[in-house]
Amino acid sequence: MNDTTKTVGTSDKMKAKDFITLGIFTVLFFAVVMICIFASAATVVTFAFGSAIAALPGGIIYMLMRAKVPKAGSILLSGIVIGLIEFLIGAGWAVAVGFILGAIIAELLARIGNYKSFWLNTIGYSVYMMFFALGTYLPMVIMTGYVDDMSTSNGVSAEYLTELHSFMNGTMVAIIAIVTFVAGILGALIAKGVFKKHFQKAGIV
Amino acid sequence: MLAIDTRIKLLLFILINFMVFGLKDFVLGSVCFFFICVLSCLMGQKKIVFKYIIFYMVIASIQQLCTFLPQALETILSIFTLFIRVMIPVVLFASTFIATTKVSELIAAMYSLKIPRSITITFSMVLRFFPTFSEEIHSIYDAMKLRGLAISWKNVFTRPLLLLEAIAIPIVMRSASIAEELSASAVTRGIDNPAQRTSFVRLRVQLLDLVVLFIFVAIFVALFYCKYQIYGRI
Repeated sequence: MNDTTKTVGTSDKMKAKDFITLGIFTVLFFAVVMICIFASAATVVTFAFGSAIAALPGGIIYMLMRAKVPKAGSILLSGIVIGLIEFLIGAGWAVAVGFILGAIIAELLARIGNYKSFWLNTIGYSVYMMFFALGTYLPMVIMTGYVDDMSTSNGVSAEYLTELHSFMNGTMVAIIAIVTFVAGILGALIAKGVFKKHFQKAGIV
Repeated sequence: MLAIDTRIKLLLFILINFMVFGLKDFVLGSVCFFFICVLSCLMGQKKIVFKYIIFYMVIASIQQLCTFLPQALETILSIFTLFIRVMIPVVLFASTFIATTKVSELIAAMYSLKIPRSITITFSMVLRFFPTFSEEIHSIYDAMKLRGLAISWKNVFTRPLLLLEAIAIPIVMRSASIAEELSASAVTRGIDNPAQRTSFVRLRVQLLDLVVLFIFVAIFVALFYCKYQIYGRI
């Protein structure tokens, strides 16, 4: 552990205070994501972009976490904890895996910039949200494969199947992922504005 | 009432997750849902089970009715309802888990499973902060109402950004200061002490826990065997 902290330079090992700060902001982040997902599920079309909507306000909290705890392992830790909570409330293992994978990549990206570089953190955040989106929507695509299975025995019309594949397929998920990625960058920029307007004055950052 | 050891419950949770995602077939999925209902009832959560059974039936009937809708709508709605129907058993077990597990039991289980302390502390912080968080939101909302920023249709349409700012900024500010206070109180109570933790909660795996686990593993194997027979693949 000592070797890695040396290469990171300015940051040192996390202490209880950092765990508590991360825990509290993880709750905020989780609440924002859940509210956005539920609000977007009101209509089926916006449901597909719930994670992109969540990425906009989520950026403020994510960037605040990075500013408060710029230490090795902080992103991975909050990713694991949020994955655990998602798993415990019954969101399925795919979402949890998505969060943890995204957090690993974001952690590696942020490490290059010593956890201080704005753009590396931003890209890390976008990737993090993108993996969350993949974890949420990929199971739905896999389910269309199940409908294919069923159709062979049940005699579902071919018209229905083409319709289904044109709506939920790899391209759709790719679009969702790209939109979420862009929304992540926008969210980080919003965070930058909010930081300037409020948090620096109040001495929080 | 059946009280299962927290660690066994976690194991069951993981098992049920894989079971449910592997079994999207209506009949097999319903059988799986039935067993989870029985388990939840035995654990004393009859009310929750009743609610979810009704919800399950509603979703299943919507799925059946989808066939009468126009093509485009049918496609979207059937995938949507399929997704919800598959998720219901997991959510049912999740709410049973939350209703029957105390926070201290969960944390004692995490310590005994040798999960890294960083994860355990952060996780217990999260669980502890949820009630505080909703309290904070209520008092912030009271303050917003005083300043004429209540969440009404008029405000949502005429000044949504101001409304969002008025909620988000105070929450973040308060959270930051709560983090300071909590860590001060936690550090004075020796949270940084690396020694072995003790706990008020005694965790013990009993024979009954193992029996329940064994039954669920058997169900798991049996259902996937049925699936293999029907579809020719796992």
